[in-house]
Amino acid sequence: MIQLTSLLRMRAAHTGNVQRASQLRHLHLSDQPLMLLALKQTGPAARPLAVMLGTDPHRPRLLLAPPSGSTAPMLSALADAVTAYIDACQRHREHLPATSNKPARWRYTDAPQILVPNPQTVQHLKDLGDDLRFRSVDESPGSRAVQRLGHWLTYLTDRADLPGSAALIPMTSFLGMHWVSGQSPQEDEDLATLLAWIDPPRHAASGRDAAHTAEDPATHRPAGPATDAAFDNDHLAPLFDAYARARRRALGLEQTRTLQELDRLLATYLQPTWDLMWQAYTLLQALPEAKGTARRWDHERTAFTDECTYLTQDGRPRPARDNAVAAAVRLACMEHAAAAFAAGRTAGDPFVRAELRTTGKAFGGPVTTIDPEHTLHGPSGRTQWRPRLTVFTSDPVLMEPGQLLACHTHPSARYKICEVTPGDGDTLVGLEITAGMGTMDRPNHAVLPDAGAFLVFTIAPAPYRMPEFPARDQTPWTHGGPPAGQPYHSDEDEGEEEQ
Amino acid sequence: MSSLDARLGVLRGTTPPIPHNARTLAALTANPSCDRRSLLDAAGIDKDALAAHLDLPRPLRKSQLALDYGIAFERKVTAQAGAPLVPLLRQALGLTLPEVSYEDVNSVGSDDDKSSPQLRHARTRSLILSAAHRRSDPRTLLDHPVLRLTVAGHQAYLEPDVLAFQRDGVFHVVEIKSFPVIHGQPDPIKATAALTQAAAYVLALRELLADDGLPPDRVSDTVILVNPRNFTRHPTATPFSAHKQIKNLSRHLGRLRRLPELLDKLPPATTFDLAPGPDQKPTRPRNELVAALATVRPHYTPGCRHHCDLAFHCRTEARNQGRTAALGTAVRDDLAGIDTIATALDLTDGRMHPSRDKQDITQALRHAQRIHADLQQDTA
Amino acid sequence: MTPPHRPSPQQQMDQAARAILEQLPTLTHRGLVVDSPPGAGKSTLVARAADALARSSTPCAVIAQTNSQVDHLVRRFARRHPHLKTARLTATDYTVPHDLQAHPGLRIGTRIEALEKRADVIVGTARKWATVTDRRWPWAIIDEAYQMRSDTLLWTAGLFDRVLFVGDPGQLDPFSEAKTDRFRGLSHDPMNSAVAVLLANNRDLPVHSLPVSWRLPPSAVPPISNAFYPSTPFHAGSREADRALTFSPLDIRTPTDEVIEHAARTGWALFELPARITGQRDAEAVQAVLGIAERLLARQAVTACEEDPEGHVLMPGDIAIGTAHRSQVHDIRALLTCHYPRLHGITVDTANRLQGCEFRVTIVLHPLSGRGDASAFHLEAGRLCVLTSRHRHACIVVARAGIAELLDAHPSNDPAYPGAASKVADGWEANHAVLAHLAEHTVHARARPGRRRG
Repeated sequence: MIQLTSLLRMRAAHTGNVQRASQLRHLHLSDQPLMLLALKQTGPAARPLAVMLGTDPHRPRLLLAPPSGSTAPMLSALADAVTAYIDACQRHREHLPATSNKPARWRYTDAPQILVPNPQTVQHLKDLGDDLRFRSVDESPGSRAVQRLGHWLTYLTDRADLPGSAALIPMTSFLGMHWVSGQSPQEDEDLATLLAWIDPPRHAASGRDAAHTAEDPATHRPAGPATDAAFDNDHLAPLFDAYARARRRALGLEQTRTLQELDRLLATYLQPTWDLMWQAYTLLQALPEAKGTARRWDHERTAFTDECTYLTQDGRPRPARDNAVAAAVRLACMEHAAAAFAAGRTAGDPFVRAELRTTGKAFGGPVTTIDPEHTLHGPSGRTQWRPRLTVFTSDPVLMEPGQLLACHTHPSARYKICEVTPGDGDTLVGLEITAGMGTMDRPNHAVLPDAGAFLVFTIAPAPYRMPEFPARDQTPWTHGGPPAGQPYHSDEDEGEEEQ
Repeated sequence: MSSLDARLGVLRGTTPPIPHNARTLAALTANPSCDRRSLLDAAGIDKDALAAHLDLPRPLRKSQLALDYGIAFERKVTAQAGAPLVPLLRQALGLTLPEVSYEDVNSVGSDDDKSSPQLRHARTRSLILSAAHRRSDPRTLLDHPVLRLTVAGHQAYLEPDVLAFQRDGVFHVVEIKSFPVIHGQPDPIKATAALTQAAAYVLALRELLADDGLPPDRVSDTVILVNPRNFTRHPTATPFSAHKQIKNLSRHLGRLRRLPELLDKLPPATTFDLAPGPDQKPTRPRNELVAALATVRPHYTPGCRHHCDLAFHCRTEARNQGRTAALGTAVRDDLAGIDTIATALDLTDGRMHPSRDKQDITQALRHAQRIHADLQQDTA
Repeated sequence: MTPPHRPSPQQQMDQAARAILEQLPTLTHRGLVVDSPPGAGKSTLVARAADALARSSTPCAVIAQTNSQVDHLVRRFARRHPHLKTARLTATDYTVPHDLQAHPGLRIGTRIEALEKRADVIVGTARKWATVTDRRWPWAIIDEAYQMRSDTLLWTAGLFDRVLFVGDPGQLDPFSEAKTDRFRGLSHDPMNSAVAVLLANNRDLPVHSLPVSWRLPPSAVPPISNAFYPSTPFHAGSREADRALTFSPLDIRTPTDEVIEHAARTGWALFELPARITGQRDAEAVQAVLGIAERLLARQAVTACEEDPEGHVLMPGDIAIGTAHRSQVHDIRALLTCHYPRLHGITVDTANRLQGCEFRVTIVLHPLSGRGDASAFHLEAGRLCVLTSRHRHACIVVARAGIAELLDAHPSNDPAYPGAASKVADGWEANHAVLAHLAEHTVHARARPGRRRG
């Protein structure tokens, strides 16, 4: 089997131009996302070097940490900027009336959305969250805000682990859902080259040429968070040395001057990536939203509202590692989110279904026969209405009788494979409609296709029920028993060290 | 000098060879099927210099900031005769002894910063053997010992950070690395690289003991990595099983015997000599160098940039040849057996008739193409 | 090299089983683990343990991982332990097989309330047991515990005072679609197997192992035990003379005949096709697999073993074809349906689905056959272990040449995580070991002098 994406990647490589993948956007895109680029210092874990952020493409804000000494002022400024953005999402709330399984509640009408260049930046923010949320709060100005920033970074990076979440999105992955370049997926993780493929400058002969130009070591700036060795050696190391020297000799003016120089250097370093981020944003914004995107954003807002409530009612930092129950719940959430996102995309996007057809997880073809009257006798002897149809397909059918299928034309209908008859390169699949067609007395005729109609069938998403996990203090002996008092503070009070 | 050495010397040219170290040995396991890499490493050729001469990005160039940070961390850990290390190893290995004796093998019998590797190896050897045979008060910690490993018939000198010796007679390799362990989790990729290097030390130590008739299990498969803990510079020790890396490396070392076979395939007079001029600048015409490289089969994957200086050269070559491997594992897997993009697309578009063994894959390609065409029609 | 005083396999097995069963009633620990190699009488042990436990305290809960495993256990209880009141706890959307529905002594129910009062033993899947709440019983037995994910154990462990875990450590690990390593290194990693988590949190728990495989012939035990069970070696329950696979003689012999004859003699054969990268679809290999199956039936193979000393004419139902991928199963079944009517009734499935099954002869399409490189999926020790340990008489592997080179070319850069070496064999090493063993049993598809690799 050849995945559609593989074929498109070869086409892109061959023609030098990017190929369109999904043309529908499955992730909500905020009108005012917080764009955030981060650089970390080479060496120490998660020590920030600079952050460029903002919601206005023309007015990025650059926050700089000194090469040595305390990062507290920079982190405090970062905390204020991020918190202000998050607070702005809490201005309005909406009332949700009670439903059959949920009481009436409310939620915020907005939620934060942070866009970063690549998955590595997400990892960096996760590390930063792991550090900051355990920082102790003291009298120093901003220490509470910094701890709070740590909390939000942990929340956001946890969300980023859930497929379909739009709270924190790496741009390269987002673009990769919609365009297939002619380079390898590893190379796609570089925003500059990926975007050169997708949206080459006007003068470029092709995406490939543009990508080649974008890679020129003389001008190419990786989007962070790591700086490359050449930049470290040629630009940063001399400034770091100068700063350390001035600091040792307590030459305040010299220190300030070096920091100003560093500021200029990093602003120039980050500006191209900043512009690329907004270029990518504009491209993505132009894509129509897929069905289901708004509903996923509703979930995002619910999660955000819940987190705000947690912060006001409890507010203790999330533990460093999940306890047994939390880990199991977390895994269940991740698996559920992945399945729900896959099902949603399948139902709403012809490209996704086409891709599934090339991997044997879906098949499509015309309906050859339909028997709308077919009935069978259930175990209780009652007559059940089970209309039957036959579909002729030239797709490979890897599924077996008994498999439940869905079809995007009628999302609530279910079809059971009764028979698979392979022919010479083609296959006849006998199906039975098991749900969504109503009853014989009150039939929903719309579900019954006409002979000749072309339908694509995909594997029906398994009905999901969150299993009931024990309470934390009921953790069974097999998993170490109830965990001792949760370590709300990390094991160290060593604080930040002087470099 | 053996004829093999002479032949490798010709490949290298006038510059002295870069000896194998733990890092280059570890690279043997990173892309074992790359003949180009095997040959260049065996000849001790400076691949970074080749990349620089060809005006290519140098993916493995070291950041001075990273080096400084690493050195500072290692100094901190081994300061005061390894004092910070002892409680960590006690915990990680259950070192029970109250007193720990420590020996720095960095300089032997001279005031120089570093003595020759041969001298330091001799010293290391005698310390290790006397500990192993309990002839003397066992040295529990050896800082910067020098071990020797036979690589393709040659002696390579290797410098582990620390060797720890337990009272019950087992040696452990301890590696000091400056990447952090955050809440008990080190970066798994960096950990693998560290363990593969440690595997070279384990094998070298086993070789040393074997010469004296001591069994391999006197060197533990368990390797201790010492890293900064969380967001501090305080060290923490983490035990890892390097069993897999040791097995792998030892198998690949065994495979180096096929070098003569690779050399035989080269056209006569092939050389990768940069021909440095009086100012040490390379004078070798670039196209000649490129042609020389083309005589050895590479095995390029997009992951090469993480472990090979020449990755960008091989990538250009792969792209120019339209190789499917340049597009990553997913495409290469799907396209099993078809090496070039042009062939795949010719089969897809009917410009080429499939041979019998390509019928299945052609059918799959055309199927994907048909589905894509349907999609274009629907959305047009 | 067998020392004269060594107890017979039956004695060894009895001794091991007795040690386990005797420990159960007086167990001071909260659990007990029994490692069982392929075909070591795991189900027998589960049933005997349930029988024993149900004598002192009822009901005894028995938990398996899939519905077919549960049905298999229920069938065993109904046949061999008819005095036990057995109940089958089932989900509403699952149809229990007719033979069980019709069984008079068996109660089937979807709610625990309907079963718990009168049953000695209640059997159900872990998923179904997770819906049971507010109960506490003295004992549970978890079967196929190495296939159970540890988060599933979390649902149910609180229902029982003590648990007996039985499973095969060499089979495929449980699986998750989630791509994350955030749980790595946790002693309670929810993606790990139930037994791994159990033992990480309860290091002093007694662990027994069953010492004898009754399924695998003596020819299969050393290679399988060495490659996949380095920490729990086991022996064959049968003697070489017990197992025989014979054919009617023949005048003209094709390479396929050579393969099945070699397998009949030695218990193993590797049918090696010329090296070629084919990907998952390899029409030639599929033909070869089916050709071997057809030859076995056409030549009226007869198997004899200690259970069937008179001999048994090999039927399609006695043969399984195992592959790594679903698409390969699909290709083989499609071809079988259209062109091999005589083979109807043969089992064709992936390693995942063959877990726990037993056949007289198995034909395996090697997971690495026709590949350009090895991946973690194709190297997984459990996959090869399942495929090469289902047979009573012979295992015939079909593969493209060049697998040894493929293994050697495999980069060793899998991510490393802290901790001691795992009990599970490493896939790369296990693959090398099996391949080295098969090298002595190689039959080449086309004789090409001088092209033998190695």
